[in-house]
Amino acid sequence: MNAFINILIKELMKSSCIYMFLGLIGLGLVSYSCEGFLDIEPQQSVSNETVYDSHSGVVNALYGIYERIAGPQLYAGTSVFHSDLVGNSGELSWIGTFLGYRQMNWKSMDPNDATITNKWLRSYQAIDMANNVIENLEVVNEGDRARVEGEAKFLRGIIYFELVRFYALPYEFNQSNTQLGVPLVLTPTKSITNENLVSRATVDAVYVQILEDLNDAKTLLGGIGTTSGANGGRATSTVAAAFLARVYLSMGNWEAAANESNLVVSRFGGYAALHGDPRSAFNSDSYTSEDVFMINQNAQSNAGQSNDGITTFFASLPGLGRGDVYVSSSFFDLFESQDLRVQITDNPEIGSISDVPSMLYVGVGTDAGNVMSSKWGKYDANIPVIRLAEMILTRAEANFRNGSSIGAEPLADINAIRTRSNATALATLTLNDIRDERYRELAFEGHKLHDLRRFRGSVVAPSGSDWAGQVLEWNDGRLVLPIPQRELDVNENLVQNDAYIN
Amino acid sequence: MKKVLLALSFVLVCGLTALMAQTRTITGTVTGSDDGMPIPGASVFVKGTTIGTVTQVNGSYSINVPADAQTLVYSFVGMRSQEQPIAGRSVIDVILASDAIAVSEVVVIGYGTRLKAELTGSIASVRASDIADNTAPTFESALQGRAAGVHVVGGSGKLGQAVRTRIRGASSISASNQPLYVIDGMPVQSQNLGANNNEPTNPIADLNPNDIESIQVLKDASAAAIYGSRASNGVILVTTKRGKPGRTTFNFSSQIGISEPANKVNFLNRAQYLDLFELAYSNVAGGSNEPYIIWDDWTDALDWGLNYWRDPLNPSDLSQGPDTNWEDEALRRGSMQQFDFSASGGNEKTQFYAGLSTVDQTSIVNGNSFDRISGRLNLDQKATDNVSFGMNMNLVRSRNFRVANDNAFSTPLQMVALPPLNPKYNPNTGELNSNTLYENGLIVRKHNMSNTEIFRNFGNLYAQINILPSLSFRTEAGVDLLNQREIEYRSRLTNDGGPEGEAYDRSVNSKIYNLESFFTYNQKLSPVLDLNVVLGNSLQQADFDFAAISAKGFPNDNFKRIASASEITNATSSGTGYRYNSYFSRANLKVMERFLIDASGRFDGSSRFGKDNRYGFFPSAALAWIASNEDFLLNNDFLSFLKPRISWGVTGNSEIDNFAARGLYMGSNYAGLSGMVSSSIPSPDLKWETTTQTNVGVDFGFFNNRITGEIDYYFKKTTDLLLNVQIPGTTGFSTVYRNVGEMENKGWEFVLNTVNIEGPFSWSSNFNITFNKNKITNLDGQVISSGIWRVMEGQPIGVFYTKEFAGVDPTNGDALFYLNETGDETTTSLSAAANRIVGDPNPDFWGGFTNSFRYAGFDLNVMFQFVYGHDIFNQGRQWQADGFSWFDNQVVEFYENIWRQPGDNAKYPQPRFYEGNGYGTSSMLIFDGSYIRLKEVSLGYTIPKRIVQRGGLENVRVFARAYNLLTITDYPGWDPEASSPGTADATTQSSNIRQGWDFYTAPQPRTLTFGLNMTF
Repeated sequence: MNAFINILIKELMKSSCIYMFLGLIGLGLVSYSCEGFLDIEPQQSVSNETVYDSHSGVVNALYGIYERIAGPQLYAGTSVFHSDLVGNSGELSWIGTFLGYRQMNWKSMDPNDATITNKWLRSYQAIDMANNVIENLEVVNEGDRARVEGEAKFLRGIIYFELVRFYALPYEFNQSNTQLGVPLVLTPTKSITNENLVSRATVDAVYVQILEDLNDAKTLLGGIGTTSGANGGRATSTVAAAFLARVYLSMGNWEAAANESNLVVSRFGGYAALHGDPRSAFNSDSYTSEDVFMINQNAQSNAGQSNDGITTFFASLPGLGRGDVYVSSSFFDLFESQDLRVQITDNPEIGSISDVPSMLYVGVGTDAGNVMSSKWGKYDANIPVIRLAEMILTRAEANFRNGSSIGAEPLADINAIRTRSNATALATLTLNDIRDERYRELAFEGHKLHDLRRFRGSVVAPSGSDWAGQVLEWNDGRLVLPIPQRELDVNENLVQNDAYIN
Repeated sequence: MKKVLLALSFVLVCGLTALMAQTRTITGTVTGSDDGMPIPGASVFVKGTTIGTVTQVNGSYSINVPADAQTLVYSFVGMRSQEQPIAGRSVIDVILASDAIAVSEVVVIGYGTRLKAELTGSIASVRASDIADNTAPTFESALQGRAAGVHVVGGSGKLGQAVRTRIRGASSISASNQPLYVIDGMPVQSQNLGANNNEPTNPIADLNPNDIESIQVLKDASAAAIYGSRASNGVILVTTKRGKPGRTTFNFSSQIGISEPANKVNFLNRAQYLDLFELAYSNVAGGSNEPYIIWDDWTDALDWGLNYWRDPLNPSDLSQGPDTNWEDEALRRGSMQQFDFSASGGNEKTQFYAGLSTVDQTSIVNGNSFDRISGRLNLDQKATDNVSFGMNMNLVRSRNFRVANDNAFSTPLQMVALPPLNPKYNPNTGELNSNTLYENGLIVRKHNMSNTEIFRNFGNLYAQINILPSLSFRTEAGVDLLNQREIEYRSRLTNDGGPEGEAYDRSVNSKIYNLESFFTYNQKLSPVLDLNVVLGNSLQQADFDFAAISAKGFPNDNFKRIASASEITNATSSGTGYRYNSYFSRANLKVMERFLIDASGRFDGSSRFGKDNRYGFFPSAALAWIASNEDFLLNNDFLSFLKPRISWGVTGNSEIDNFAARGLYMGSNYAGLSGMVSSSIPSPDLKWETTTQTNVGVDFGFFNNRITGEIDYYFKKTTDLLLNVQIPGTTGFSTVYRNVGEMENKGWEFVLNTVNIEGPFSWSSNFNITFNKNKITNLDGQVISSGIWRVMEGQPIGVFYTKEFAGVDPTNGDALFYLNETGDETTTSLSAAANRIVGDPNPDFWGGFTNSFRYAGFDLNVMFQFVYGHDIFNQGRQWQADGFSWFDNQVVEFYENIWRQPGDNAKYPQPRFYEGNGYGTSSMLIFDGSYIRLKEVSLGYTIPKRIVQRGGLENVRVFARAYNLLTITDYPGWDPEASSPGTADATTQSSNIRQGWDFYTAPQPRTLTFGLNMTF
């Protein structure tokens, strides 16, 4: 090495050093300019630390939660689809090639199924954001704080309700409900430690949390308008009451369910708010008087139309929908022939869903020729989650089972729904009448599985299923979604649902 | 020593020729075996004498020899010298083979060049002649089977799509496994920039292969570590052509050709379909459940499921009616044409290379085509004795007319799912039939477009100052500017565009700036000590801008641009980037012309990591011994070259998301209400993934280098894997990047070059084979899965993990699956069966075998390429061979191998309509993909000089080439090279893991071309 340096120095001494200096200066300049060269900021994202340190950050995160639950993983897709396919006894036919949905129709689901996994992941992402919002309320302007807290708790409550209804055995009236529910995570995730390996809480504990969140929300949102369309598709105290009515109904707390649904119905002005034609409640770009809670969609923000979202599966229109779900003949038998809800448009010239005045139509797009529901025919229309009709039917059922007539007689409620659709008014009422009316009115809106459980019904596994022909009772474990396998793989404290343990 | 001898004989030949008495004249031409080009300045002399001459510019010679002369000796630097018996001939044409261990051959390495004989690392070289006139739009396919250690998977027969290139195996799980591409010293954009909804594109397709002078693949750490944090996957150095002092040479070449699918799968025709459908229906008929209750018999089910399947005139005659071969609609005859024109030359001060090229290809996939226009100017100027500068400028426009991704109903190959009973045209209207089982892809082809147009500018400018005779300083400033425009229109008549038509318009602006400054010191320190030192800095900045707009609502399909849309459905713009700051140094020491000692180090900083972990250090060291330069081996004709070598080094990988270490929120839109949603959780300790590689090798030459070769053993261990670790979803996040886990690649590479026959007829061979074994050694208990692919400790990356098919029950035709993770117990229930490791998409070995023949102006090249031991998941067969779980057409191979009656030991289960029998994902869909392929046969004829020179030309060669003429494989799908890249929005991790995925993936074309090369 000495030899090298000696020669270098010697040669430098005798030659023109200027180039060497230039080179060194060049290299030096480069190094100098490197200070901070590696500090660059993302352009479409912000650091997580900056989100929850300001009023606007927290409010933005709250709006973000709505965006999360509006995806096809939740209310714009699986909330409807999973319930109607798992609870299907042949009233609708699934003919699509998506294996995951076919398995739901078969009642033999796969813990690796993508929609089952994504529903779980999306739900807990929204819950973590809600937990962050709730923890950082102190930076929210005082005037908005109650509302922000109310909305965050509302969102957390309804997501837990969604999770516990799908991933756990049903709540049983007047029981201790110690069967496994879903993990209850109520604090924000800061970093990943062993504490994140949470276990499943009992169904009872999850319901307790849901009631707490929704009741808090109902109170905190008391200052916001209560009418139809108030608060732009977001939570109000009325919306919280509507979800409370659903929760109480599934718990068998009939009186509370009657009270909450009555509150909603009365705030909406009673039967008068129902549309003259049931078809008007669907495929709308704006609020309709019947919408209690809906997912807002528009052209820029929707569940998509290719492989996602309910419209894709339910529609068979020119260039729209895969026509994978159609209505079977056994469905028609539920109705009187003049009932508006069973009228079929058979017109090969149909261009879009606005050409379909009835609730059913003969498909003209993919897999044409089958009878399709017109409830889901426009991929960027709003998605009704709770309609006024559901609240009227809930009030009727709760009153009937409770032996009360809070707000109205059950028969009056049922007949209000029936006569709106030209069905004959009933003279007397049984619980099965209420069950059937709910199905006639709310079919394909995601109530099938939940109603089946409440009415202690059963389904028959169809051909192709591993248990084809078997009758599966309302509390059969095979009607419960499996805990996603990827979740079991990374969390040793999670237990799979019994029906999925070999 | 050989060099000295050669020079000596040269001088003697020139000096003494005139003095000799002469008796007769022999003439001829000396050409090179690689390119068939004449060799000027080659020496020709009579063996055992000093009588000789040198060849002219056109390679011709004329020599007067004594009557008793027996043998002529031909030699040229870099070529193997050759002896020819005169045997009474007066015309002797000679083809010289290149010397694989030519003492003077120079190889490009990072930040410099080196004599090939003095390399200590493992570098594979591919020459211009191997790349020229390639029929694929991108040069990587020329590496396939030619460069040991390099595994190139074309993946799909669609043009211009991403190619999977692995150098010595995959070294990462979540970060990229693609090598670094450096063109003329500048790292360039090589990763996809296309829209998310389609397959990734290959920006390397923008480079005209005919501009390439050489490609070096840096494989081991001592060769690659100078590229530090970016070199774990190897480095591909591309050097473009430059001018040489002398007269201006013009080169014109053109090529036209046709292509067809290398293979067809064959689906059922009408009669077969009806036969199988009737059987499948009868196997389940009598079911009391939906949907059977609505059908009377199997024809009723067909009436229900399919439109227009009966003959309109004779509805009851089932033998009449539509019989469409949809496979023929999806795959068609393609074509290609290519024109290249170049000029190069210059004087002592200025040299240039200017090239212009166009290529136009139509794919075998209906609707897909590619074209490119490229212009290049490489200029070198010596300003003074001490200062020189130059520039390279390459302007390119490439266009890719694309089709939808493999997993879209609208992709042409999914047309094979349509039953032959679906007519192409609606019998009532004569229009394309829109009532097919699934979307009629011909409607998509007719009305939709998806055009990607790229304007690219590779440019760099360099200046070099020779400070001292031994010390120079060089600065290179480079830009790689890429402007990409994607314009799509989806017709109102298609599923993707209905009901009113949709358009999508996206632009990408990629700017990569590069500044390299380095000193090179080159000095003979003493008669036995040569030193070469490089020291410098490299800065790189990459900025990307994206903008996209989508719209719907078009008056009709004649309007395709967004100006005519009634509603803008989405508009977005975004940007991202990364930066590197690096300091590097390398010292090479040569002792006594036989010991080579190398060391290098690079100190590398990346913007992608947390502030405290930005810089990493990447050292390497290597040692080689040119044993054949030792006295006891010198001039040994048997063992003419021997160089054992050993290297060790550390390289890095940082090819992950640009802001992977950060906890981030991104913007969200809930129907007009803007907000923020969480997108990642912080990982502040994130740092480089590190690969340590040891390489032991030997280069050898026997019989005066008539047989040469290389043997290498390597061991690559990657630690601190940049792993996208799965975390409980209950945290609100599903993954986080962490440095967790280790994996290794061990392998052998063998290269053997032989000159089998020399003389007027010459035959030389090249054989190379690589064995690689990849293993995940530690994942910290993680299990990473993506579809049916899994990454598990103790297994190679991405094994297939799914239910194992246990065969068909001979008594009733039931599909059986293994019930438990181990053991032989079976079940008919797919969902009850346990998952097992049922296949491995990584090959055990691969390589190539090339034979070149030359005789009297004819040249013939025959190249085989092979891959052994990789499994393929043919997911399409879930519907192509499911025994009619729906109406999808079935492959003939399934039809011929189903269970039909008790006692059948059938390959496939009894078909059962709708209910399926084993329908779903299992090892029934996994096949051995081993293949050997006659990848290239080319036959050329160089027209004799005396003829072409009359036309003022220097050299004219006509040729015919055939690609993929023959593939030998047991794989039942289209192509055993299939590897669907998935869509571009797939994470790097999932594309790393998802190897060997055939999902209606287009096969490679079989191409036949005719071409012409002219030099004047």
